[in-house]
Amino acid sequence: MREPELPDEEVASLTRAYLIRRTGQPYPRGLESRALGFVVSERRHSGLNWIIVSTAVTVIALGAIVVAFGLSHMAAPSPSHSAPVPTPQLSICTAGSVHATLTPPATSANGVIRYTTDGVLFTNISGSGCSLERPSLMQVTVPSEKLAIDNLAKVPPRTFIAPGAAVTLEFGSQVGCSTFQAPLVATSVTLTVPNLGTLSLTGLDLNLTCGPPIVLGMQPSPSAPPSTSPSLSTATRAPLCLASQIQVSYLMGASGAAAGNTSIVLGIRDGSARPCELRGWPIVQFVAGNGAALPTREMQTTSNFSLSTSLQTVILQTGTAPLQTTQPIGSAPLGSTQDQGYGFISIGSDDILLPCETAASVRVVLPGMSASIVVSLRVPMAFPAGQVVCSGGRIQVLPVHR
Amino acid sequence: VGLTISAVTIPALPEYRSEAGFEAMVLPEAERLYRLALAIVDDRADAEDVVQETLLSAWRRWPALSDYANHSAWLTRVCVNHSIRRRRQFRTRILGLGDREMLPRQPEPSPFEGRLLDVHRAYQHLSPPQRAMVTLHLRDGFTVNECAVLIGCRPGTARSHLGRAMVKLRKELGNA
Repeated sequence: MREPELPDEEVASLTRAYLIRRTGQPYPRGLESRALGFVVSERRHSGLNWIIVSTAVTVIALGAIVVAFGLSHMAAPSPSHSAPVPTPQLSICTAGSVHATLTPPATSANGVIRYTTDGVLFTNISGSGCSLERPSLMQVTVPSEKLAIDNLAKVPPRTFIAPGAAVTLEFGSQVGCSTFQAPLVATSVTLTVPNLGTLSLTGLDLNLTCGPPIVLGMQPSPSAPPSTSPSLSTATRAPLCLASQIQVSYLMGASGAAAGNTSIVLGIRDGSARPCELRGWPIVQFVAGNGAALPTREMQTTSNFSLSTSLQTVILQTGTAPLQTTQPIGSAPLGSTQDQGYGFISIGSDDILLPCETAASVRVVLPGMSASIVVSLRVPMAFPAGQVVCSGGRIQVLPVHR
Repeated sequence: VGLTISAVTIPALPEYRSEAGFEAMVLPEAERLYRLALAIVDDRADAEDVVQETLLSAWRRWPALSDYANHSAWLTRVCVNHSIRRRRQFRTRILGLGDREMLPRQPEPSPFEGRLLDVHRAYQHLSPPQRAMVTLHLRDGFTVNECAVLIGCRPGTARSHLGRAMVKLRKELGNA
C-alpha cells in the first residue's frame, strides 16, 4: 500500500527549521570591513601615481617655506618664550546646557526592514555650541524588566549641537516578525550620558514587536520642539488613537478574491468625540471558532495583490457613520468621498501552500496601542463560519491607510 | 520589473551616493546577505566570498543607482545572482561533496535532528535557483512574485522552481 504523501506544510516547516539552523551559524565579524578595505586599497592602487607626484610637490613646497621662515628670523631673534598657540576648546554638553525630551513614536523604513521608532531629543538651550557625548548606558523599561540597548557603538562618540539646535537619538524595534508575538510595550527609557548624568524619561510608548530595541542613529533635528515639526502642521495633527475609542469592522464588500489571491479589508472608525490619528502597521492574529490562535505569519509590506499604498498618517474624524460588514461593493466606505474620516486595513494572502484554515475572527493590535481588538469575520448567509486563510497563515499586511 | 516591497521614495541625493551613504545603507545588510548566501551555496567560505563579491559589485554600481529606497531588494538580487553563479562553479568543482560543517554530527540524533538531516540530504539535490526560492519564500516570507523580482525571473518560473523544490523535498523526506 502506498504511504500518504507528507503534507506541504510539514515539508515547509521542516525546511524552514533546517534553514534557520543552517544559516544561524555565527557571522564572521568584520567581513564588511574586509570588503571595504579591499575597495580602499583598490582605490589607493589606482591613485598611486597621483599620490607620488602630489607628495613630491608638497615636500618641495614645505622645504621652501621652512627656508624662507628661517631666513626671515635670523635678523630678528625670536622671543625667549613664545606665547602658547590657543587651541579651540570644544565644550561638552552638561545638564545645564541641554534639555532632553521624548519624540513622538514614528515608523521608519530601510528598504524591506521597517522599524517602529522613538527618540530622545537633545536641545541645546545654552548660548554656545557643545558636544554631546555618547551614552554609556541605555535601557528601556517594559512591564517585567529593563532591557538594555547594546549597540550604542553606533552612536558617534561626540555629536556637536549648535546653540538652539537639537539632535535626536533615534532608537526602535524592527517590525515584521514572521510569527505573531504579543506586543511588549516599553514605557520609559533611561540613559546615562557622560557629563550629563542619568536621565529617566517616562511617557514612552514603544511597541517592541521583534525583540529588544536597538539604536538606529543620531539625527539632526529642527531646533523647534517636536510639536511644531514642519513636516506635519499642528492643524493636521491629532492625538494618537486609543483602543477604547476605536471600532473595527470586517468589510465583506471591499474584500475579495481573484486568481488564487484573497484580501480581507477591515474598516476603522473613531466612535468617540475627539479625532485621533494612526500611523503604521497593525499586528494581526487569526482566531478559530473555538478561540484558538491560528497560524499567522505576518509580512508588513506596502503592496499586496489588491492594493498598493504607502506609510501615511491617517486621521480618524468624529461623527462618521458606523461601518456595515455587508456594505455593498461600490458604495461607501471605500471608493467614495464619504469614506473620508475612516481608516482601513488590507490583509492579502495567497494559496500557494496548504493547509487552509477557517478564521472566525481576527485579533488586531493597531499601531501605537497595546490592547487588541477582536473583529468577527463571520457573515450570516455568506460566510457563517468565517474566512478561509491559506498558505499556513502567511499574509501581507499593509499599513493603516485612507 | 519594479519591486513593490517598498513604496517609500528616497531621492538620489548626493549624500546617498557618497562613500558615507554606502557605508550607512549597505554595510548593515552584510549579515543578512551572508545568511542568504549561506543558504544557497552551502559553504561558509563560499558564502563569505559571495558577500565580498556582492559588496564590491554594490560599491562599483552604487553611485549610479537610481532608486535608493529599494537598495535592500537590489542587494538581495545581486547576492542571489552571485550565490547561484558560485554554487554552479562549486558543483562543477566538487560534485557531490557536501559541506561537512552542515550539522553537528551526533552519535544518536534525536528524531527531530534526524529529520533535519533528511532535509539536509534532500537540500543537496536542489538546484541553486530552487534553493534561492526555498530560502526567500519559506525562510524569509517573501511572496512568489517578490521572489521572482529578487531572483530576476518571471513569476511563473519562480513558482515552478518552488514547486519542483517542494516535490524533491517531499520525495526525499517521504523516502527517509
